[in-house]
Amino acid sequence: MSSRVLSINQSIIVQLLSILLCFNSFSQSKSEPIINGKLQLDSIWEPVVYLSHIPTFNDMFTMSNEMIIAEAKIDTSGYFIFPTEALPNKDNLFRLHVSKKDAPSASLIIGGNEENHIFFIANSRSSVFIDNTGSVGLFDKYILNGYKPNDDLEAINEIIKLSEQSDTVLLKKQFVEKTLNEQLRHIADTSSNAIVSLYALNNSKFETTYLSNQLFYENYLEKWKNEDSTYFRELRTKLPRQEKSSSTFWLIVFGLFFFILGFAINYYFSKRKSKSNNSHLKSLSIQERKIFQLIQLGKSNKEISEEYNIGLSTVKSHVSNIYSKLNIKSRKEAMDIK
Amino acid sequence: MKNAIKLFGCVALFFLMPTNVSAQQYSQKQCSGVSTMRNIEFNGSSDVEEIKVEVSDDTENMSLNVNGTIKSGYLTVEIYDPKGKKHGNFSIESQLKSSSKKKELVCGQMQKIIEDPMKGDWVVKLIPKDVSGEISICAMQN
Repeated sequence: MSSRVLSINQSIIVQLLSILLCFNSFSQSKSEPIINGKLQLDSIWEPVVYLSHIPTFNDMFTMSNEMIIAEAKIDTSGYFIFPTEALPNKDNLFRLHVSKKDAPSASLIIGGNEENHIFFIANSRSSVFIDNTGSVGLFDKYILNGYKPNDDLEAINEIIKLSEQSDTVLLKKQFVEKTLNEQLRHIADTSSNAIVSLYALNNSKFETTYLSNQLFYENYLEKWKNEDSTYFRELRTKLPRQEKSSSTFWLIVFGLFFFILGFAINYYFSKRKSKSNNSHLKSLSIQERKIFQLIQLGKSNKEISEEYNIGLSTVKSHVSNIYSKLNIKSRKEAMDIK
Repeated sequence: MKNAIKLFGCVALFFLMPTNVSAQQYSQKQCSGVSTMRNIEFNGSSDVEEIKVEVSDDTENMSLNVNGTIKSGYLTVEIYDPKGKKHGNFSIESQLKSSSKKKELVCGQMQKIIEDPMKGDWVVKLIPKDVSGEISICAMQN
């Protein structure tokens, strides 16, 4: 009887202790930002977890020792902890991985049950909790709590998985892919977190759909124009938009410039011509000016001789003088002078 | 004497048979239905290599395993279907020079199971830059 009471007491104490422990870890996670979690590992894995900084989306599947920024031991209960104070103040993408006992610490396994990594967003003030205890493989089913943008990251990963598993019938596959890519673009458009938004866009095959959704991408870049992270710089180098748009802009500017220049040159020369004609007109005598006026009215030599009552040969002589003084060769040129 | 030899032969056969069978099983497990098995060694190489995996009409699924370990350099592995669409990639980098006395290994592994793969030549493209190390490519088709 007494041993039974003792065992009940022991179980109550254990329960109280575990509640206390939970409360302690909860209050700790509330008070100071940490990346922590519980990993259930097979004996093939080294009980060490590595944290890598992923500077661009292109580097998500790149592995090197230089990318690993911290490592932490996994204790016998599976717990590990990283402080976040050394992380950047702004959101960045990170990768957490474990390595096999016989493999180097910088090991990346992509695909299959032994996929050894997960990605998440964090900054120096964020708390992240990772738990794979419900997983059959290493990370095929895990919980990522604590920092809200990671929920959206997980939702995007689910969409990506769906697009990879979609139907084998080509037409149906294309339709499903298109729908899922539209979903990703919608997340990219509506998310307020820069990395989540860009992660969604990056997985929506934007390079192939750029031309059909050009307006969307232009608005997107406009929306995030103040973002200067490496992630956005990478996107800007991938999209042809800025180059194309700026070349069109410069084409219009040059076109306008040459149009105005041509107009100005034409105006200048016509002014100059009329000025020179005026100065030539002043060189004509009174009689010649009178005859010139009649020439401009289209009168013939005979009509001019009758109007001024002078001989036809005199008119011809005046007309010849007028031509030579005005440097013209015909009546038509004389009529064009204003 | 003859009986003794016969007895010895039987005993030897009895002990050797299971070993032989298990070795066969191991070999089958490793290479059953293998269409391509390549091991490539790099010694400071920067030459791009393309390994082709031919997929026939009756292939229902293909399992492609690429496993690389390098001591120095930068290696990118890309997988393309016969139409040239990329189906995955990874890169591994070791910043030590190949002449360095220090040793730093970096390992990358990719497993892809492709249901009803497109018929034609799938390509595993290896893009090394001053790489010393090795890579194995194993493609199994069913």
